[in-house]
Amino acid sequence: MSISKKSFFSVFVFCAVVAFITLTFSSCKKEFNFKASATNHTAVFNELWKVIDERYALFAVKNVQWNDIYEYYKQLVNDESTDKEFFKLLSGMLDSLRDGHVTLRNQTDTFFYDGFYKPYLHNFSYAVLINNYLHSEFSKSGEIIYKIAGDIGYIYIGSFSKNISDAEIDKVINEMQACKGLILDVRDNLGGNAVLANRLFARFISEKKLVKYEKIKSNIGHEDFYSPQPYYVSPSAVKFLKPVVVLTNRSCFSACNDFVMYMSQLEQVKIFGDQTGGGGSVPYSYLLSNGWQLNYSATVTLSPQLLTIEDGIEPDELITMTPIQESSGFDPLIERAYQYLQ
Amino acid sequence: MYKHQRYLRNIFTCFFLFILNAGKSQVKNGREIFLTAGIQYNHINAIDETFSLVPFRGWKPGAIVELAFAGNRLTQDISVKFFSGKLAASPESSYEAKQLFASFKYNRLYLLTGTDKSFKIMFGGSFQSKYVQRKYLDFTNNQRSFEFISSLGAVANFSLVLKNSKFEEMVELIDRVNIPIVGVLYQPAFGSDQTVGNMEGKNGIIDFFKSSHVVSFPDYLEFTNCFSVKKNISHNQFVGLMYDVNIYRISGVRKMRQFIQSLGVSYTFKL
Repeated sequence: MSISKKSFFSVFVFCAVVAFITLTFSSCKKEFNFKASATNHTAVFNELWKVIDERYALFAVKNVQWNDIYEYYKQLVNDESTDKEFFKLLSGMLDSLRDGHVTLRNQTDTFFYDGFYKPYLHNFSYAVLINNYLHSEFSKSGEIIYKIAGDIGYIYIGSFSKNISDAEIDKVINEMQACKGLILDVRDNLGGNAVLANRLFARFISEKKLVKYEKIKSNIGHEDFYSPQPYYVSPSAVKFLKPVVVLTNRSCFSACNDFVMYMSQLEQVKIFGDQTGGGGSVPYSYLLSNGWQLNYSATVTLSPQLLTIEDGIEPDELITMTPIQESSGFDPLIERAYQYLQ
Repeated sequence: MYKHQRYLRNIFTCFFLFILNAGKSQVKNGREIFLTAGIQYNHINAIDETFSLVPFRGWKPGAIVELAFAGNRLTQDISVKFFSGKLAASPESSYEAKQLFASFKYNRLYLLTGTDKSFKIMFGGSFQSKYVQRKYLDFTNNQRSFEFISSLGAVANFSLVLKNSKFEEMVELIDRVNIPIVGVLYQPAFGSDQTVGNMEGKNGIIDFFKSSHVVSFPDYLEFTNCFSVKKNISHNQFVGLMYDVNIYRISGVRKMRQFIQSLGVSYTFKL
């Protein structure tokens, strides 16, 4: 191929145009900044503080002065400190939110706030339940443990974190139809998928119910929220509308807390045990620049009366289990519920 | 939006419509139709500030199909691009995100130089729609974020045809720059992975209108440069190499940055 001088000139012009565009673009790319962020402790501290400041939904509920906390902790940040020391510092800062949904996790450590259950009586012993009440005569349907004792049914659901299908719930509820009352034990249920709470609740209602409102942040201000969004649950075909006692303790948290709140709205339901642990929000994740995962409360869950449930649901009857009762294999919550339903 | 931004946007919109009309009057008989199919290897670099400042990066294969109608003065083309795959958090985290990218483009270009020149400059308007979705793995609740942008913009095309001594076309070098000016953005609300309309129980088209808003400079910046080299292998077939760069930044309540470099090969058939 032989190319004329004119063609060479055209190539030159074309290359100049492309070079100009490329150079313009290169300077443009810098403005867009695709480099990984700085991962020194000061930068990560500021990043974490800002994420919580802009996205955490419960400042008003918790009455936390986040700016004051920044001022206090920023003096303690030291870029020369070890990752372990820095993790401890951030954990201390997050602890001031007193929120079980706020967690921080890296490859070796996990921080979570345990103040919603640790200072209180446990009021539950799985060993006592299995050995002294269920013995080996209980049935399982997925994650649900259940037993019928005379004309009273007993159901234990220890978690909403693993899936429980409609069929698994229906199987249990169908077997309970002959019972005159039901003990629904959700102690030590730290929550999980709120959909499961709705799915279970649908078995105890005869008509569509407003169960809660959810407030979602609309912008970075502490008070920037969309108007509360209502959530409804429709009844399931398989139902149990006779008296129910729900057993709770402080370790009933998040989706379990929601479930107890839903149930507390029903006339045929009584809540026995301790106040629930709270966790009236939906947690979201954020990946910090140093690769640590932060979870924070991103919404505010409100009852149908538009009240916060962050501090938990109070029982209709406060019943506790003392360590002596526990060691003697006696569960006063189950005993009282059985007596009530009889 | 500030007043000057509104004026700027209106000026660009008028200019865009002018180009469209100017192009329309230039449609002549004897237009040629080209169908191009290509495969690309895309290097993606995405920062979704709602989720993290950590870039998610990866090389993913993708496909592009283009249909072009070339007249004497007016060229129109429609192209569709798609890729999907996992991106890894960079630099040292084990976290991953699944990304899906789909775009549709319509360009309408008017030839500004002579039809017989080897170096041609075309200018015109473009319409593009793009859907980018990320699904973060091993995280709580906010696992999904996405943006759907439909925009109108300006496009410039520079091409150079190199001929041999017999004046037969040998190689064509093409560089195309596309800058969207005004667009409609649809993405989840600030504190949720749902859209505003969706939160109110609205779905489909009602949710789209309720949740989308008009974006322009400086909240929405995008730049695309496509460089390609085409060589004819017969009178109606061409093979090509292409290198595309696309960069965009959305700075609304949900901030998003993405930079994609694509290297690929194409096959064009003249219908």
